[in-house]
Amino acid sequence: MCSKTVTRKIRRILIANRGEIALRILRTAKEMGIESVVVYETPDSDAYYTRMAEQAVFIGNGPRRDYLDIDKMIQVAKKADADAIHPGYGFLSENPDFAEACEKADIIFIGPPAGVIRDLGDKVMAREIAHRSRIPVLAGSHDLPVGDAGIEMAVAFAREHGYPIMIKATGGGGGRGIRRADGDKELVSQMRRARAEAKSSFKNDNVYIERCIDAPRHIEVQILADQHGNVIHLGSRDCSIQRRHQKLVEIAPANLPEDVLQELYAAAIRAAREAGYVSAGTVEFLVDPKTHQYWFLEINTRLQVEHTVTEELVNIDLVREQIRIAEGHALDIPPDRICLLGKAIQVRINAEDPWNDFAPDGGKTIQMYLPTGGPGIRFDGIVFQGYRIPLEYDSLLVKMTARGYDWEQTVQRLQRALDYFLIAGPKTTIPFHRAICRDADFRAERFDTSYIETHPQIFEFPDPEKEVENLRNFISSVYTTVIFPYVY
Amino acid sequence: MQKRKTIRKILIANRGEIVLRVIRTIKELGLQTVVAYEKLDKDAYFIRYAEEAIEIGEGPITDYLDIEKMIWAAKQTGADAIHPGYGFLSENPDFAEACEKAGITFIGPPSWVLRYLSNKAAVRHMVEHSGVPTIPGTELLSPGERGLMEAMRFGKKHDYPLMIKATAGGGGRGVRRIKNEMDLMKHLIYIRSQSRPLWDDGVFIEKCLDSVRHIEIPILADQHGNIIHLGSLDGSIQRRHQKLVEIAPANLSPGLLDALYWASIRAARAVGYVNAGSLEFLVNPETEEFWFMTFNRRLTVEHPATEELTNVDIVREQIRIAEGHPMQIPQARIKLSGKAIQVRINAEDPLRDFQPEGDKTVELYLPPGGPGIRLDGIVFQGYRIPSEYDPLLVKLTVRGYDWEQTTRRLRKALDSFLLVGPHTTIPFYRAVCNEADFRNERMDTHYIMKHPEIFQYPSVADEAARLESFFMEQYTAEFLPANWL
Repeated sequence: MCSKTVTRKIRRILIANRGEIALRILRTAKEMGIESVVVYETPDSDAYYTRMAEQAVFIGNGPRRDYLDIDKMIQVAKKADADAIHPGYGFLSENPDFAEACEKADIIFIGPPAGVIRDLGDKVMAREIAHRSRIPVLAGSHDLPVGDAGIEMAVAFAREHGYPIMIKATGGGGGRGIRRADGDKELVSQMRRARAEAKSSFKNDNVYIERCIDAPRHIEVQILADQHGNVIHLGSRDCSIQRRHQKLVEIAPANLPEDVLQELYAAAIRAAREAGYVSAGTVEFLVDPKTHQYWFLEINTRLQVEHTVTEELVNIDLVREQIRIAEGHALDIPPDRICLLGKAIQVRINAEDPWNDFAPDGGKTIQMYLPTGGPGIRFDGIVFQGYRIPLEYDSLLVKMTARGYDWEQTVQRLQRALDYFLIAGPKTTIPFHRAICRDADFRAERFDTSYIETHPQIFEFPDPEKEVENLRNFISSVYTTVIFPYVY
Repeated sequence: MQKRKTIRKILIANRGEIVLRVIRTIKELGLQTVVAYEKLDKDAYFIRYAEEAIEIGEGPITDYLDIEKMIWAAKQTGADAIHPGYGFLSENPDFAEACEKAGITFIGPPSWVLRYLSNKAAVRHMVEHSGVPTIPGTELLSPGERGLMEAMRFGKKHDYPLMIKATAGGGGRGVRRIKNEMDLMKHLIYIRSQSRPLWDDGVFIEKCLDSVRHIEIPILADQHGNIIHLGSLDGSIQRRHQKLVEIAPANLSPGLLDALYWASIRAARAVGYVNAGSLEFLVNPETEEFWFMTFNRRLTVEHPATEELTNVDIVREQIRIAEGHPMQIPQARIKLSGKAIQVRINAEDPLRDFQPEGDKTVELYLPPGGPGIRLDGIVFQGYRIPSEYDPLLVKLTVRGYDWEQTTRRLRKALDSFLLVGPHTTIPFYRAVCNEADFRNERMDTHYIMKHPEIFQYPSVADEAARLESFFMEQYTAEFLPANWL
């Protein structure tokens, strides 16, 4: 627990990120009367988020490396006289060196203390914290030694616990740096690959192994922790619908019996306390779809892409809470204000071709953009008519979140909003999400992490090229089928 | 009591944003939509979302008010239900009756309830009878000199100011404020000399209450006698009896709100009300007195504020009620924490007495997004605003944790709302957001009158220029070059 209890008002925030999350953060800053400074690399010179900030600072040609440059960020913050930095998600958000550099420069880092990020970023250490918090942890190893010794230990582990097993990067997380092995031979080859990948991606070639649960559900609990030792949860999310460990559809709250949810909430709060957590965070679990047995997965020390579903469900602005916590305020949300009734679903609308293995479709210009409105629809996006999608970054265009009274209504609403979403230019994941909405298992709220593999029918949708054509017709002519005139 | 009747295809007897609003829910329910439109609306945005559209005349407005044509259109297209939206035929008992006779489900109250509630004097009687206070007032005034005498006697007894109201009025129409006896004579004689349908059904006098708040209680009633309320709305910020800002829930003591809920449900039960409705009261928050004013028997313009607060789709409930389903929402599911505010963004120039800005084209349209923002509109880049209909472009509804967050969110949403072409009410609402009384949630029905400073904002033309430059070039206060570091 942090001893700092003096509150310090934040006046200007540097947002060390880009795209939709930069816009998301500056929206809340604006609401709080706080100025925002954003940074941009050359490919983002025309980006929407840069226009909404009080100050935009050019930091280099990139791509990506300047958004990852700690020294530059600190320098910009100092020069722009920013008293705080919000790291968003990705990039530097879970980098303990960055949080530490902020602390050294006397800039408030809007996130957990560097030490907590370091502990929880080490997935082996995180498992220990979970274990100490009396949360079931999947059988697994510590960091495996390099070379034959490590392989021998892994094989012995597999003998004891059985295949399949997971090889995970100690410095990984968020679904990255994970490989599965179904036999001895595969274990050897995958281990080598995992180590090489971990070294290049996370600059840390340590790997460990874990028992693999077949087709579990991915459930997470959103928590808020202040500097005074108060920890609360804001309900659960189900992020089981994934493709290669990347979440595609996120739902709040998870469809689990109340007693299971209560256990998960309590476990999440225990883990946060054990870790000395401060700020918004997410405790992830794997849950057996049948027995509802659960295991600790990891703790994410950042604002998540899917934080929107929680916000829509509970009507609490997570970025605002992050800022207030960073200022040193105590949480002041009474428990009876956290209402977990209703449902919220978020889908990520990406410039990708779902027919072609989700290949990015960047470099295109948005020719038409007319998102839908009406009850329960939220957009977090960076798109406007005439926007050219840069090739250099991820392909996320807009996150759409639907909120409704119950599961049925929320799915119907999501489907309606997807059907009415007009975007022409790039191929997008809209037709794919539409197909999910029509699938019987999804409609019945039945899914686990094998959902995409076990439901090939969701790839049977019209060619996205045709989709664009339909949209063009829609806007250029009256779309309706019959027009009778009244004889007057 | 009606039997369960499944609806498959709904004709929407209306135009503009409310058509799109209703279509959205119809689509969610997997039903079909037919839109009846006047020729001027043939390219309108809302039509494109319907499965079928049927032209009913040249208008303007007359055909949207034509019962016969609407029934014809429903029969031609095989629609088994009609949703009337708000305005136009929505509260017309003849229309509901024509639907009933034609075997078409009217998505609203039964015609006899509409007929009964259309007589304001009778409603007042009934409400008083059920133990709910009404604003002191007269019966329907007698014709000629006798009516004037009745009015003057009332003025002597209850003091001025008074209101003259038309029985057939509503939604701010058919109301005149009377300052003194002279004023009374002048207005009464003037009104009676005019032969307008609004005033022909007769008028009555009511005591005019100053510094009160305008509070609404939205309700849902099914065909099986179940009635729930959906909290409250404060519609005090009005201009000439037209609501400009709507807030859910109203900032009143829990005890007073309970009394209003109770009065509303009791009144709805007394008239055998069915479907979505809304009861309007004037409330004095200091004395905790309240007076019943009107019973709205339609979907209201401001229903999104209630929907965002309660997470209940009112149009869906209307359709299910009309089908004969019993209500499935328990009163306990209606959570009233948080705040929602709706503002109407109109193509009007508030600095020139809210003069409509028809015939202009929307050159740039980029509405805000992010947490707690809802948009119900008919605008897109390239949209030409018809001058023949009302100037509503889009309703912006924001939701937040408390009053402070919600008003700050509203202010931010208005700041980043990019709409270039017509003058709009956006800068006006921005000025309201900056005003101290509003920020402290203090308002009554004289708010606009008491705060002339909200009209002192930079001219709308400057605003348009600002927005244009936003998109033409980099707008940020400072764009720092590469060598800055």
